[in-house]
Amino acid sequence: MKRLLSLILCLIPFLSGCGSIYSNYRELEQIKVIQTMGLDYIPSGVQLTLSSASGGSGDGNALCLSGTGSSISEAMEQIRNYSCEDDLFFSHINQIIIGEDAARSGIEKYLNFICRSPQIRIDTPLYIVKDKTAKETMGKVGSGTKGVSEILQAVETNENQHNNSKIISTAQVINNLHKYGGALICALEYSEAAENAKDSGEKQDSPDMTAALSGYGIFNGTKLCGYIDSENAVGVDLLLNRMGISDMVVADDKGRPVTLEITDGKSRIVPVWDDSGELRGIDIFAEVSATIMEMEDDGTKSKEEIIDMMISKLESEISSRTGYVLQMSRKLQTDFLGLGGQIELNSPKKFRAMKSEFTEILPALELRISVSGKICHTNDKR
Amino acid sequence: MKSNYHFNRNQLLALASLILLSPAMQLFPHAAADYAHQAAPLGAPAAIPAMLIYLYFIAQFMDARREGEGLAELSIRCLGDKAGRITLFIMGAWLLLYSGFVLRVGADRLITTIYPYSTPGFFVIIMGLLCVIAVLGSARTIVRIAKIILPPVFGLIIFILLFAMFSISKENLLPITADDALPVLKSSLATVYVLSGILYFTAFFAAFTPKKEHTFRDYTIWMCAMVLFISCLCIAVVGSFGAELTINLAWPFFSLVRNLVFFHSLERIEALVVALWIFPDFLFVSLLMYSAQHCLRLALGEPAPAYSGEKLFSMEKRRWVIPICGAITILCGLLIGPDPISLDFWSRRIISVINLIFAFLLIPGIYCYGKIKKKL
Repeated sequence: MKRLLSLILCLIPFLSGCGSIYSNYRELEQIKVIQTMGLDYIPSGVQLTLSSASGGSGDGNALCLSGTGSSISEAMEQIRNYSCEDDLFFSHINQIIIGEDAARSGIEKYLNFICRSPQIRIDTPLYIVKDKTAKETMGKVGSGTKGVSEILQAVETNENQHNNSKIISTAQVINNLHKYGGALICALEYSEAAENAKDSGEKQDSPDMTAALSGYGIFNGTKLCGYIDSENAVGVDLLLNRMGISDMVVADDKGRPVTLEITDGKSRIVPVWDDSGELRGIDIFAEVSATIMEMEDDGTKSKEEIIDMMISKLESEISSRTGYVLQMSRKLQTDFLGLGGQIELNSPKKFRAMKSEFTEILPALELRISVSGKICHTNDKR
Repeated sequence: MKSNYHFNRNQLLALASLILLSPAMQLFPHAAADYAHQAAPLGAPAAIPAMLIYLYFIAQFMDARREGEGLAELSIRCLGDKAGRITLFIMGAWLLLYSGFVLRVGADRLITTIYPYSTPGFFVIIMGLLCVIAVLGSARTIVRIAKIILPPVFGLIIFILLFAMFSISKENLLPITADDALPVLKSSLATVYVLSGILYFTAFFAAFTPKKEHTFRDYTIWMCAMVLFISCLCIAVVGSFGAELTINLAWPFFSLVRNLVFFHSLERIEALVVALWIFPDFLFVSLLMYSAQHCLRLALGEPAPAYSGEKLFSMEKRRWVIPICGAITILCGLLIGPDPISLDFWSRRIISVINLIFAFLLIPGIYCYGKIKKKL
């Protein structure tokens, strides 16, 4: 028995990992670890862009490779064959970027590829680039020790530090498309890096570019049909109950800007049913807490008056941004917020007995938003 | 027969628990999610009433055996010499076909999850040969391996399931209403199918266990533990991915493992986890092949086919049947399901149907016939 067990144990290393006799043994130096994958639409198929972390190209910069094919696998094969690079390693792809054109033409084939791939994780974060291609973004973003992979990693880390991450994974997108017929994907904006401010006196020939989160892309089915800008993204986060720490600038009664830092927020969705059992509307009850971060205080108002005014501004602003998001959902007739799921959770029997699909009646639903604001701290100077 | 080649019921149930992992990963939580969607975790508990009836039947059958008798010997006693031998030939053939199928599915698991550029032949042949070596020895060896391997394998699975609980979303598991009762009942069939199969396969090995009381109680405790395990598996996978995505994934549990990051530092351990599944595959194929050769040697007129200390490559007592069984198993593994579509067809339309016929028609039929003829 011991000999047999030993034989099996000896065989295990041959059946796992890179050192297998059945796969190609490779030294670490020969492997180019791909961390970011970009997907773009071209009439003949797919333009695939792959990027490693900085240092991947040998001269300290990030390796960036691009190829085309009628499918992603074919484009991968083309990159492998024509790149002159060592073995490309796809198991550590941490971000997937989709160009806007690709997103508008439909992301089903890309999602299918990720689902089927034995190398890519299904919970890899997914991004779309506003008005740009993934290739352009990945080629130009970053410089020196920071490539697109590091920048997106930093974006993700920042989001995680603010409690509730807004980054949406591929698995969540697929799940939402299946369940609600619509989904949100984090949108990236491609712009000049903040570091360039130090050179404000002289204009650089080619300023460093960076990528930052800029709201969400809205998908109806598998096609991009619109965006929610970063200002109104707070409405999405509130409705999805994943409000992190974020700043909001409102105007006081004299029109001066006041910065509120939202520290917490949650919402509750209550369906309104008519006598025939049909859904008539949705009541949304939201609670938001904030602190006052910046404001000009001329001393004419008491602290209580300031708090009351700020609560009213906070409630009105949150109500307006949440309303905007809901209006987008109605206008596009897409349940990208998963409202149907929340209503089903609230009244499963009535929801399942509805004669029409939720997205069909969505544009005609009455939406009422009640926001209850709270200022937790004024950060007053003494 | 030497007592050195015997084992007890707890060891046999340890083997049953481990071999369950092989079909469980193939069927769960796909099959449950396919019918019951977010209510998939309730499918296994819903199978308890049906399983209790089946357990009661198996316990009654096993309690009727004499010392040294298993399902094969009981079949001869119930059906008589001629009909018994024919039945054992059929059983042997089925067990070999099924062991080939298990080899093929195990190879598919390795290809889909770790070695996308491989072909199943290599895995089928290596595993098949290992199993032949195991079958040439004592059944106790197979059971003892299960007993040794059980704690680390289940320990790792529980560890993974605990980590997976952090990624569960309640929206993926709720709401559940009375309307889900029928789909849940339908999904419970997968649990009944797997557990009943495991029970009657291990009944062949009962020949090497001493007669003991409380068969029904022991089997029931084991069944409840397995139901809990299947439910936790469904909660972790369906809760993380949602029912729709779970249905679309080839091996959702291993996709879940691929996603997990342990303590912000350890990740991509799916290759090691998948490699661990070679133990359930090895034990399952060994059990099936051992039972097949046992049935065939009995059918060929060998009065005591159980291992009694023969040398590894000794061909006495019709032991030449063993390498033939190994060759047939490997051949079946190579020929079954050459492509994913036909493998799926084999799984859904052929193997499952024959398995259900054996579990719910043939074995109960043998028992009833034996009772009527007052052979039990």
